[in-house]
Amino acid sequence: MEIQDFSDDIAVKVKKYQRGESADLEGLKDKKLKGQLANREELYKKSANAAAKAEKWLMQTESGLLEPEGIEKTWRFSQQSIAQEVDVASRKNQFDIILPDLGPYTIDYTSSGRYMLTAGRKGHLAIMDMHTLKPVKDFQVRETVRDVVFLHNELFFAAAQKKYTYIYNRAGTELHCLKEHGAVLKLQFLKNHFLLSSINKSSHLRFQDITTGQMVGNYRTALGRSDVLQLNPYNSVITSGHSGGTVCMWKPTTSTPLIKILCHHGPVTAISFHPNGHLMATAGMDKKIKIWDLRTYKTLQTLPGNAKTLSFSQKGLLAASTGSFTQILQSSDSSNYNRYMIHTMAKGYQINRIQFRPYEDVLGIGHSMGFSSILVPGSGEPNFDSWVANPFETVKERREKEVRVLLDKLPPESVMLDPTKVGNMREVKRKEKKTKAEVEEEKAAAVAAAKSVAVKKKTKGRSKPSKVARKKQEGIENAKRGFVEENEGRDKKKQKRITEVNELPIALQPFVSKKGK
Amino acid sequence: MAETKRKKTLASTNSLKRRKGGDKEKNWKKGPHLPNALQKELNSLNPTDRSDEEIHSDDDIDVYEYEENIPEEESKKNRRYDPVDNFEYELPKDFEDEDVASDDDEEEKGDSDEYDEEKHARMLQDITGLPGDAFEGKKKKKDVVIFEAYPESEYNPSRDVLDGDGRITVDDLLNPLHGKPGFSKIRKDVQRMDKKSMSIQPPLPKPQQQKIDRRSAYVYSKKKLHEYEALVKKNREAPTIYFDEDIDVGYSTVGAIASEFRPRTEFEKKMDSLINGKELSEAHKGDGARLLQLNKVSLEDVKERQDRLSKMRNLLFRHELKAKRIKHIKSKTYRRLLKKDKSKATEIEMNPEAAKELAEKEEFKRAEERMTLKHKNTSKWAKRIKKRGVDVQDDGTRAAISEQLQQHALLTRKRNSMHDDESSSDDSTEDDDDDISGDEDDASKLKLLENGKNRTLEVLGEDDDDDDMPKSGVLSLPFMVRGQKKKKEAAEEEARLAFQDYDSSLKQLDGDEDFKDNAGASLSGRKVYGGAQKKQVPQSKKKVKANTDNYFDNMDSEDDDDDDDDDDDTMDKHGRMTYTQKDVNIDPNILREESEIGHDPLFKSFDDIDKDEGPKIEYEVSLSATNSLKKKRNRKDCNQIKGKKSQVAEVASDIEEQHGDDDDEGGIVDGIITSGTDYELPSQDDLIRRAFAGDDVEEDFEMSKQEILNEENPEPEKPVLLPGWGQWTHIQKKRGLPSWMLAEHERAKKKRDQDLNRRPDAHLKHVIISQKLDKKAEKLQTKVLPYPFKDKEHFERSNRMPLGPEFNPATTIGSLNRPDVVKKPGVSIKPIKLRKHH
Repeated sequence: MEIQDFSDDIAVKVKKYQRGESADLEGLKDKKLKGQLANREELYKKSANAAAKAEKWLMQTESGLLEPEGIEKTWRFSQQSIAQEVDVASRKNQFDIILPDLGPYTIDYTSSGRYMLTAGRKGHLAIMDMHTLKPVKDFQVRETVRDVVFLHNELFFAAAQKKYTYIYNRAGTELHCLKEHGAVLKLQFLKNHFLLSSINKSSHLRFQDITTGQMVGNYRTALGRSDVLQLNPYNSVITSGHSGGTVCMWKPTTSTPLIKILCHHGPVTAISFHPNGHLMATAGMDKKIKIWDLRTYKTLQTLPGNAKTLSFSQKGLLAASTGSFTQILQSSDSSNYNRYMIHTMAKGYQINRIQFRPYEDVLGIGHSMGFSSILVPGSGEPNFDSWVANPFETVKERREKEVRVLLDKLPPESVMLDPTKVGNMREVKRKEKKTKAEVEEEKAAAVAAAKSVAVKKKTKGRSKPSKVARKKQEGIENAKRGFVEENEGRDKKKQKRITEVNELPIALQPFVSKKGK
Repeated sequence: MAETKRKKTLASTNSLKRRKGGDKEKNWKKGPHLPNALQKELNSLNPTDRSDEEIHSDDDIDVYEYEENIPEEESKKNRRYDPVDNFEYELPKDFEDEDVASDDDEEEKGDSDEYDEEKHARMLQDITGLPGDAFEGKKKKKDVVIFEAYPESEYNPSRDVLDGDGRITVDDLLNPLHGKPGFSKIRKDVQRMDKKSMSIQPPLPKPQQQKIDRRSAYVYSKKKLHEYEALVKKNREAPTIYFDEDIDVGYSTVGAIASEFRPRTEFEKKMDSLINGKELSEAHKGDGARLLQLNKVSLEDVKERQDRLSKMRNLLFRHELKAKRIKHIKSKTYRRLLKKDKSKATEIEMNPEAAKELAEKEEFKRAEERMTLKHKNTSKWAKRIKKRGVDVQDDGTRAAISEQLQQHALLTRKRNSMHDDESSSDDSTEDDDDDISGDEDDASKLKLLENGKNRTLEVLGEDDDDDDMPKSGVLSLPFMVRGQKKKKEAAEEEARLAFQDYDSSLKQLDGDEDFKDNAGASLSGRKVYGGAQKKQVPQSKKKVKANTDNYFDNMDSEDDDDDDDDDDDTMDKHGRMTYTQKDVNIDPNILREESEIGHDPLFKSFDDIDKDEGPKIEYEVSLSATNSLKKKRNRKDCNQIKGKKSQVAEVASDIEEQHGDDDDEGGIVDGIITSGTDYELPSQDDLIRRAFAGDDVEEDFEMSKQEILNEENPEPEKPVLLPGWGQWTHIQKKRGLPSWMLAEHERAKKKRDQDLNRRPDAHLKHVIISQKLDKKAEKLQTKVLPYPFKDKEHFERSNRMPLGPEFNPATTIGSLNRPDVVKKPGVSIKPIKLRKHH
């Protein structure tokens, strides 16, 4: 029984690491290619097996959830009762920091979850080391701060302030003032592409490369003011929510949204993405929270309730909060989300932002009276990958990682809905043929041009009216002929090329240039 | 002539015939026909029979005589026959001849040959018109004259042999043996052999032979190659081929290389002898005692060394003590003196080169200062103070400013260099420079300006009366003259501008004077003409704005600033607004303050500038009213407001007036200025819009989707009546549109529907999936399938696995990324060796 279970477990993991099925090689005529592909497949299988085993034996830590017994309900467990059960190190993660003066706080974690950045609306910025629970830097900018976001590591962060966006370093020194962004409402950072994206009050979406300073994209959403902007961690597509209930997905290099979904009947208030990139949660003013499948663009679930802010955890828990109330939803198969935990702040505390802390079972809450963090068992990924994010990173490691990450920086155009499509065949779209009217128009223009050609005055009877007329007529005919021939000629050429290609032996066919002819 | 010739030829033929008959008889008599070569031989042996000889000798004299010596094919005179073939087939024929007594055919053949020859000669004669003997002579020329001083032997070959057609046959060899014992036996043997011998087949032509060779070789090699098949197949199927199996490339370690070292040069040899000397090596072999013995040291030496060491130690200790004491001295004066001493020492120490370097450094600093004017009140701080008026500042600030200026003067003062004396007197321009930078008094500056003005005037004057154009040469050509004129005009223009500049700045300087006096310190430096003033004005404006921002930040609450910003947005959308509404709103508060300092001479001077040259600063102003209605109007009119040019000075001095101005021009602005702290209620429109924000969201979305669909898959145009055709008879109206047109339209419609249905968002009412291609992302995907692949699916599937070390366990990365061929550099690839398994 145990052995069976074990093999099942491994099989699931192997499947994960094989990243899809292999192609059917039976029908392949080319024996050499067949052999090569079969070899590759064999290697892939081996690699997947090794990876699965490594995961099985090296990543020993398992995530758990609250498990009710009998008539117990998981959402009845309060933070106090959880605190009694957990170890001291985890208990350290339960805290409230009361900062009543400088307005509702927003928070952001580094990708490793080691550092937290908080920003009070009225200009209070602070970085905190979550291991030592000591502030790294704490300063005030004496200006409205609407959003903050860490850049590629804890050394730099961007703050959307009253008029401009600024980039500060860890010591609180202002490094850059990004004036082009305007009065930004929300910031997001694409860490694989080193792009800082922002949406400002005039609903302009901007992408700026922070390594070169180049403004990669600047698009008018034309959908009204929006302060909902969320990054899909799976494919780095930026998603904005608008007052018309629409949600638009953007890539940095196209001016039109890739996807536009009508999600709600009221303004969209919050968006969040599952780490696997397939699930999107949206909340709207129409008192609904919807969970979308991004492969089919259909709603999986519609939950009642308002949410000012949403957050998916690494393990797929969904936190939604409104007012001073937070609820955490959980589902076993990522389709049917049920209430898992609830947490209520003191009355009058208005929650501004919630975010799960990576690699910890912790939910950070930024509210009007400071910020607090609560324990949510089973929310964080228990095993960290030091290639990706290391909470216990040393300075040297951080430096090396910075270099590595910069070398691996992706170009902005590589953001696409399905990132696995990179390197595949381009989908051939038929070339748009000119409509008949357009062709006619062009023809008419050409004829008119031919008609209006001034005829040189020549001597010795060469400028006789009849001759001039004939010449003009010829010119017109020529102009007309061009259009007819253009179309026919193309077809002929194509046919010719095809036949030529077919005449060649198979081995040489790939070398026929498609452009040359 | 021609007749005689013919006669001759005829005669020759006749004689020929006659002689032939005679010859025949001779042959007949002699018995068996011998080969000609043999006959000749015999003739040479028998000098008695001289008939041939005679004829031979007579040849030159008598044309009519004809001698028949060798058949044509044998003589090879005109090389018509292949010599090789001749030789091959000669022998058997001759032997046959021996048996048959006579052969008429043969004779006849010879006859016909003779005849041919004769004919040929005649033909040649006819063609060339030369006498026949000319040709005969030619033929004869080839004959070799041989003096038969010695009897013929193998060392002295007969003439036939030399001629090239003397062949030795078996008979030739046998004849000399005639009569010797055993001859008959040999002859019998030979005869028997002849009888038995069959005709030998000629060998196959070469290409055919080669073909056969190849065929056999192919069969053999094919068999051989089959042995390799398995090996080759294995290699082909292997994902990686290795060419680096245990090959010794050479030395791999430093030790190995070092062990190979042999001393070559003198020095090396010496070292070697020392190191590997017998004594040393033996000492090493034994215990260390021997080694110690080798380095003998005398007692005196040791003592001396110890003394020296102790002395040094003592000195060091004393020095340390002294240093400690000095370090503890706290007196500042002492330190200062020390420093001075040190610097002095270094100065003394400095050689002329260092001094020069220092001078250069100083000069550089001076140049830098002159260039940047860093201490010339150009800093933000200084400007601010200047703007606010120096006399309102406290003493400390004033002192600081004066100190700065002092520093500037110090930095820009010309160093007393080597060329000190010359520079002051010689060069006037340099002098000017000096004045500008060094002296700070206005008088000199005025002088300088005057100077410049005069000079420009001069230039202008010169230009006017300057008519000394070259009257000759290239420069006098019309187009050159034209060009010169143009140039001159441009120069004049420039000079005029400069003149204006001078003028204006002179005026300004007059205005500035009292201010500068007030400032106490001398503030002037190099004057910047032209653009500098223009720049200053907007800066001052900006400063005002910044102040207002700060001012408001301290007190304004969250919401109101948001609202304000909202207003900004509306402006931004129309893309005009540069200075925000709030700025203008706030301006008066600050500016009133400012106006209190309005008597400041600086501002006056600004006014002057503006009046003088009128550098209009463009900036758009729009003020929004408090109530919503006005705001709306404002929004609508925003497009109309292009921009109003207003002089900054006016803004600064009398803002009221400006408001009036704006009213006149745009008709949007009312004079009431709201203070930023008030909470602005959202307009009714806004409220309604917010309240019903999610009302007809679906319709809107559908409409936008339809728009996008139409854009991406345009609808086909509706068919129209053909203009002109059949209009008289109204045939189109009666029959309607031609059927083909309708059909085409129908087809296009259907196609569009199909396209729409094929879209991924066809059945998703609430989703628009953009079908637009991203041009920039095209390079990330291939347009054509890479070579070995025939199927898109195979290719894409083969790409699905990442190969990097981040994605694969370390155990498999190697095999996943191994190249097709693994080869060590420097290793030659040998041909495949067949390993036989027994």
